[in-house]
Amino acid sequence: MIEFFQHAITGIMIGSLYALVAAGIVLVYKATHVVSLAHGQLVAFGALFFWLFLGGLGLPFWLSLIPAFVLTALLGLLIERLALRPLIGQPLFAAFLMTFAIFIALEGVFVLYLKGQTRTLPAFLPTGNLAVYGLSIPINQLISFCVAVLLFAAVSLIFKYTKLGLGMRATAEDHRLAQSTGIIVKNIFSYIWILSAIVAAVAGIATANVMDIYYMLPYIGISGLIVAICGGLDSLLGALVVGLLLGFVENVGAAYLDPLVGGGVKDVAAYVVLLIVLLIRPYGLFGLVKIERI
Amino acid sequence: MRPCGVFDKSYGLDIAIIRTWQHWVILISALILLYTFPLFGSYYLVSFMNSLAITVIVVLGLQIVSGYCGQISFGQDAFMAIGAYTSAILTIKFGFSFWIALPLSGIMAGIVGIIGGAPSLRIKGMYLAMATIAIHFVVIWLILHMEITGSFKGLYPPPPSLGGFEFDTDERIFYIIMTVMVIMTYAARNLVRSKVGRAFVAIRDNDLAGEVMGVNLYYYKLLAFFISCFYAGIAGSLWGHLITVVNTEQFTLMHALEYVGMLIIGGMGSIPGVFFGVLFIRILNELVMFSSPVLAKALPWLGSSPAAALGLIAFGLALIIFLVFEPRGLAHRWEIFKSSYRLYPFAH
Amino acid sequence: MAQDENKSIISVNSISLSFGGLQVLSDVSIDVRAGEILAIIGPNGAGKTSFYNCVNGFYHPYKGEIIYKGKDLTRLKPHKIAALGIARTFQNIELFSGLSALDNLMAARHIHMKRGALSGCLFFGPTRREEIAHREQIEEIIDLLEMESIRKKVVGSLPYGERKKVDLARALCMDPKVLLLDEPMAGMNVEEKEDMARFVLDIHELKKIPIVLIEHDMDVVMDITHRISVLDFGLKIAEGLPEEIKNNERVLKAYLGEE
Ligand SMILES: Nc1ncnc2c1ncn2[C@@H]1O[C@H](COP(=O)(O)OP(=O)(O)OP(=O)(O)O)[C@@H](O)[C@H]1O
Ligand SMILES: [Mg+2]
Repeated sequence: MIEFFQHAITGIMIGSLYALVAAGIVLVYKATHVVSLAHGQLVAFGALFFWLFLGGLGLPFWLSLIPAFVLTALLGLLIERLALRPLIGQPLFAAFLMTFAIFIALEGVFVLYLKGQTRTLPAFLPTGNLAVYGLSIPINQLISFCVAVLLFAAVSLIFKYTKLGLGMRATAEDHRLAQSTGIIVKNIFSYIWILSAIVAAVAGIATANVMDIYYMLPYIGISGLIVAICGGLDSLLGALVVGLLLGFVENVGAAYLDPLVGGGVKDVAAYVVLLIVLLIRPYGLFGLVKIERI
Repeated sequence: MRPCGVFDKSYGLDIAIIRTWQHWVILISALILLYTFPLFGSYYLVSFMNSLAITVIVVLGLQIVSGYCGQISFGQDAFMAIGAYTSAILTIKFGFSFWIALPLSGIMAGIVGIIGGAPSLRIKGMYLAMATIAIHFVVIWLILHMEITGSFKGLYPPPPSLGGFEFDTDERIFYIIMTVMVIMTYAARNLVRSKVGRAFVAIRDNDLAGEVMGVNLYYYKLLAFFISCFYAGIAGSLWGHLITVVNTEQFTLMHALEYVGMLIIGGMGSIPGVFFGVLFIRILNELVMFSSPVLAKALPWLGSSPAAALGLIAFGLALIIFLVFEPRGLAHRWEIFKSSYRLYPFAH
Repeated sequence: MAQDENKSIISVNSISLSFGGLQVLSDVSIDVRAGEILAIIGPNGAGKTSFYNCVNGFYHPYKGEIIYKGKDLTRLKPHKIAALGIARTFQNIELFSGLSALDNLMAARHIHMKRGALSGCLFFGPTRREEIAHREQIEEIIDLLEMESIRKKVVGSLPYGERKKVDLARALCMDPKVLLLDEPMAGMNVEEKEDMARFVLDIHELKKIPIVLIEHDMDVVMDITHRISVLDFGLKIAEGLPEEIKNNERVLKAYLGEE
């Protein structure tokens, strides 16, 4: 039993990373209805920028954090301005394909920079394990878990209570209507990409805290997408719940099923979950069913 | 393409693809050129053409399901893998001849494609795209975890042979690959202008209206997946017997993404577009390959082997440029060129 | 003969439809009789389009039944209903926008074409002949609706009035036994409306099929229809000959509001 809980806790810790990655995707979707495949790159570049200052230049933690946020936000803004803005008014699927193109181009830049090597962040959080009721929890993971939950709360509050959030929600409801009430929709798009990029940077840093920065890191965006879709795409709560759940399923599944199928459950669990969710609830666990009219 | 002044005298002529004797001349000389190519082309060019033709077959399939039927699939490389493995298993473990294994691997991939296409009955657009990414990974995972597929080690299918003649070099198997490609192109071109092709486009452009016209959505979506995966399976089988080794590392999501990129650049919903897209990306790749050592020498900060990364960047940028400036792809440019040729020398 | 004319082709028997608490149709019964032009009128949101959607299988009423020539349509899927010979047009023009006008019409021959995928790939002999035979059929409809000049144009780029026409032509190409038209004249200028009214009468003359017409333009409705049903808030409030409807108090009230 204790073993099960240990697997579960470890899984949920990882799951909070998925949830963070998914959060950025949900944010962009909420305001623009674009599903971003490129988000994994923002996550990876966020981690890389942070490494540049912390590991590369040897700056202290806080001094590394801020330029990493700024640079990632700039990258997000750049994507929005250069690639997505020209597509406003075209079918949403074109924008989806555009984020796919951006993913590939940035993947090239990322690979070019890494040159086949890996980068490891110096430990910037307290190390060691916390022991409670016979369970052992790595302290640094616990911290990133808490950050994730706090960030979710913060983003939700921004969305609910600030003027910016109101504008974003209005824009998400109906672009043209929002425009007519004096909201500048294009600016909202830029803000949302900046916000999403900063969330991505947090996710990237938290991820790089538990694993190396290597050429596959951007693919965590696919896990994030899976979580976002299973959660219903426009639900932050859905992203959080499904993210934690996915981490749990992967880890517990791997622990108990790996011996039965000869390993590798972790590599495929997310995809199987996605397929099952899409078959049972095509619009996600927390999403609204879209009706088609004729 | 037809010059100005050629008009249709009957509906039969109106629906014909090849309309004038000039067309026949062009077509026949192109075929002769193709089949004599190994006689004068270098080894490098012949193997380039081989892989080009196999990619054309895969992307033709993708064009049918995505470009015509509107169901974007990022799973095409996994279905190619199924074809490659089916063919390898049939020839190695069951002693089938290549000639029987080839169609069977297409059918096998097609059948799995029907299962893989099942989500399209409930979801569309980018939901479906994500589901097909999931299918890619599940298929590759299953292949890795089966015994008959040789797991990590993979399989080594033999080259095809016919009556004692071994197609064991690139120049020899060239003829098989090109023949299959020509047949598959012919079939695809005809399919998309038949009843089935129109049903596919109906689903793509307006599925609900299609239903009102009597199109059975379930049947035709699954048919599109079957055909598309059949193409992928055939290509996979050819690929396996060409390079005589099959393992899961050959079949990556990045390839599947590349196929979709080829469609975008070539033009969705156009058979010539497939050729344009495949050629464009492949030539772009070759250019990057050749120029990257030079670049690496001139710009040391690129590292010693930047080809793969630069290839991705070039591909991504090309896609971005096309999506912004010519979302209908090279095929659209070709149409514009054709219609201006048709009207020449009159401006309108 | 007189008896034959009154035979109902489609009988809709007290269907009710709702969406999450919103009652869209309540106990609506409408018969479509052989050879008539029936108008369905009513204010915006009355449930006219939803009524069509029930008949051709997009929506399934939770109560009541729809009988077409003795067959129960209530639970059938749209493509099955199409194959039985019920064709419709759409209020918001739902064309296959990437295809030419010609191919839109050819796509509508779907239910009548027999050749499958494999012979489509070969496009030889019988397949080719089938294609040409159907092409001849749709050329007749192109003549009838005077669309020769837009034949090869991609419909996405056509002006609104022309697209409405393609929508009508497409329904006709199905060789329907009943034709349901959803506001075919909406958004047209007077000339186009006259053309459209003439087409509807021509079709009726030529094909001898019942036509159901949803339309807001009362002049047209009074001019060309034989019978009128009036819906209001999902209820059928009146039915009868045009003159009867013109003077029906409930109808006037529904249109002008309570006063
Ligand atoms: N799929 C649906 N989900 C929810 N409500 C619907 C749906 N379809 C129709 N309705 C509602 O049913 C009511 C009737 O709609 P319908 O389109 O049938 O009206 P109509 O008579 O065709 O009006 P109009 O003259 O404006 O075309 C409206 O209130 C509409 O909002
Ligand atoms: Mg209506």
